[in-house]
Amino acid sequence: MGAALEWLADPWTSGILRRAFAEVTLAGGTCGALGCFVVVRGLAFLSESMAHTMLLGVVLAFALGAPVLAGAGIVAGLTVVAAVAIGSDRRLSFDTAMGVLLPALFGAAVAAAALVEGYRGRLADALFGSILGVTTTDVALAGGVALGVGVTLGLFGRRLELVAFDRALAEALGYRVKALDLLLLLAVTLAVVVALRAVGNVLVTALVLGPALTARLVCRRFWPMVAVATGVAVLCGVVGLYTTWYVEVGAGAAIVLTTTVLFMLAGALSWLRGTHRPLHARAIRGSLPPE
Amino acid sequence: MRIRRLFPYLAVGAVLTVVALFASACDSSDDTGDTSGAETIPLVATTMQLQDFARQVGGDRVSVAGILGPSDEPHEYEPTPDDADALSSARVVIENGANLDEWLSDLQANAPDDAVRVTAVEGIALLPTEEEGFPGDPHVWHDPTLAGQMIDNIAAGLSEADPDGADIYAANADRYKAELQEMAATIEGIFAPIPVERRLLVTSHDAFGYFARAYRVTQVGTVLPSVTTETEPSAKQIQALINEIRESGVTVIFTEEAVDPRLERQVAKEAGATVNASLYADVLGEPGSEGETFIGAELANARAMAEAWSAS
Amino acid sequence: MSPRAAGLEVRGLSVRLGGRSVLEDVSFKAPAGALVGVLGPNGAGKTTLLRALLGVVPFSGEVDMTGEIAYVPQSGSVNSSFPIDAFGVVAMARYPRRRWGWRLTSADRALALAMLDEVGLAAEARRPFDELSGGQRQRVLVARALAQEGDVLLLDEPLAGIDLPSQETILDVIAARCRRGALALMTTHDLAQAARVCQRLVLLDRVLIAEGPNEEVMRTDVLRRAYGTSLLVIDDGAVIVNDGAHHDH
Repeated sequence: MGAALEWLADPWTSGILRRAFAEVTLAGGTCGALGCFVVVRGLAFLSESMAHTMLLGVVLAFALGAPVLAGAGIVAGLTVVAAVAIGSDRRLSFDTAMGVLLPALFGAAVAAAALVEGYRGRLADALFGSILGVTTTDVALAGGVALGVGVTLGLFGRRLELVAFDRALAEALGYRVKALDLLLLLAVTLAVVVALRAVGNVLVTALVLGPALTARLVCRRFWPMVAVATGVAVLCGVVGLYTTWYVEVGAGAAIVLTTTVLFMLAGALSWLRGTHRPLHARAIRGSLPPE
Repeated sequence: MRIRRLFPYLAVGAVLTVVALFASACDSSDDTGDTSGAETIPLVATTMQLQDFARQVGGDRVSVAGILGPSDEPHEYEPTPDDADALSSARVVIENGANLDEWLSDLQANAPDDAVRVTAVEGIALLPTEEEGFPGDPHVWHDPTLAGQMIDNIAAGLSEADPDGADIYAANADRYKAELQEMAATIEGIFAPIPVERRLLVTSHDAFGYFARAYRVTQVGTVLPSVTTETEPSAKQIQALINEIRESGVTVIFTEEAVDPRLERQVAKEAGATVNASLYADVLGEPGSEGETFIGAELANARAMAEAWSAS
Repeated sequence: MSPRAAGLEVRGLSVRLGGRSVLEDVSFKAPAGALVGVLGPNGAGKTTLLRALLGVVPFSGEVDMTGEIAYVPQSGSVNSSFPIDAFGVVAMARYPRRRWGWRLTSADRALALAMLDEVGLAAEARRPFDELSGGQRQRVLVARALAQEGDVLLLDEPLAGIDLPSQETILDVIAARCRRGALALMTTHDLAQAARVCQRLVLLDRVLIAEGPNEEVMRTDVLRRAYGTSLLVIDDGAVIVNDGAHHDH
């Protein structure tokens, strides 16, 4: 028992790991929760594209000597606003608008990076992040975003849920559907910006989509799905960090590997049950269903 | 209402315009072509060290176009169309070899068939490395004697492309090799006051193996546990490095100009060390800096290290 | 669920979208207790009319409405792969009353279950929405509208493409509400069905072609003004409308 406890406690002796645990919990949890909205609304490409547009912001910010995250956030935010506004044109859907804008912006980012003199930290850095290199400031930022997203979901969660399920009814009930779209997308932007710092472009997509898809396999209802996705995301981060502490595998790689394994496990269990039905079933006959 | 509809398109257009303006206002720092007379031999060299070597050996008989600049990390570089252009008119192509510039192989087809291809580390016994894809540690130039052999390879290549200039190249090579020996002696002098057991080096990646051997410096470890920067360390390795740093009493972690020092800063914080970002590991410095030339960079490295060791 | 007398009067309603006139100067009345069918060819503006009454699209003209609205959107517009069960869908109707609240009262939940029961799906309360058949889903959406407790029911193509028993259930439920003073406005492509189940009809083709009791609207000369060449009259007076795709604005 003592040995097991020591085994569990050992990584916490490292300041680097303590900050990394905090970061994966805050940033990962936020991504997992918001990823559910991304998945049910079929915006799976969004998180990936979002991370691409941020490269443009990073490059511009660096060239102007401004803080890099600010550049990423502002450009991504502008892109989202633009896409929502374009998407309001009845002839184009929001998805189409993003699908057109984002490759263009990414291409511009690559070109700009190649041409802007003195651009350092080559694209690879923005791509892979450094979870072991997070500072206390990074963690505070992740905490702030997690808090903000939590408050947003607390206040607007039910409305966001209805908009995701039945936009027509949401409009009919007088909800400001465009504003809610924007709110959701800005929340996703913030979460991705923060996660980008921790795990980088390639892996942030895994954190946004993986836990949410895993949760979808085991949940029949939306808010349980959000809770499970949040938990799974945090679990992936924590397990990934334990792995990189005891095994010689890169931290970011370990986290993504865990995400993939959990998803495949959930998929296998779901398949074993015969259908794609969730793992548990409850039969209620005529009595008031509990919440 | 009309203007509101236009806003998003304007916003995107504005962003793209800014980028385009930026792009046109900036030089492409890659092309460092020298002013050339009508008869110069056009050559392309990958790394900045090789660009310097090529200029030293070729003098004004050659015009040197370089691929890598001060902010390009050789291990992760992705070639651009400009690079393909430069190659298309090259009579000599100089690469480092040992997998440092493996991305060049994609471009080689662009060079004329009869261009002379020089692999600078040819014939040099490499330090071993476990990194996959690398026949050995490619950072050969940090050893002044081996750098001399690289000079010889370059001179041979230039002579093959331009037999008329063979004598000049040989003379230039000899002269520069002498300068390198002078440089080596200076560095030994800079290090002399510091006992060998205090010459402890921790860097971002394993770029100084040859330097350490040549000047009797001990590499305690590297943050990125490899001869290449394209790698992600495990927390296990990082913790092992932190323990090593603490035990050996290293007080400075040296990062490199072209690497983001985030992880190094955290390691330093945990190990009670500081970060010094001034080494020239894989690249040389900006024009006007002390690291602009190879010799300048090596001397700057030596001074930075000595200063750090003396202070501890 | 107090049955009040509902009422609807529309005067000169016009809608312009994207620079085009989609509805022009439409006027009609719908009294309490009526099930009104809104008919017209593709692109006639049927769905737009509903959306204007909901306040979702801007319009000019006047609308006098007595009673609160309950809405059943086209079933295709719903995200059917969303993780929710039948009960959850119906319960959604109650959330707007809770403002910022998250939990429903037990009265809310009892009402939702009762509405689900009224459409015959109490046993499927916990079934995932995406596992229900088309007819079952439509019934759930109708149950949701009933749970909104509105007296003016607006239904967009509620009977399209679903099994007959489900259609009957839905019509029965709506008719029951109408008998108690509610009013229902239903868009449809199915002329024969409209003639059978509705008491009044509104025939649109961007403009109002005709409105009133069935016998006033269901006349060949009237229908021809809306459907034009899509109309096929057989010699014993039977009328067939060739109505291809089902797209509307």
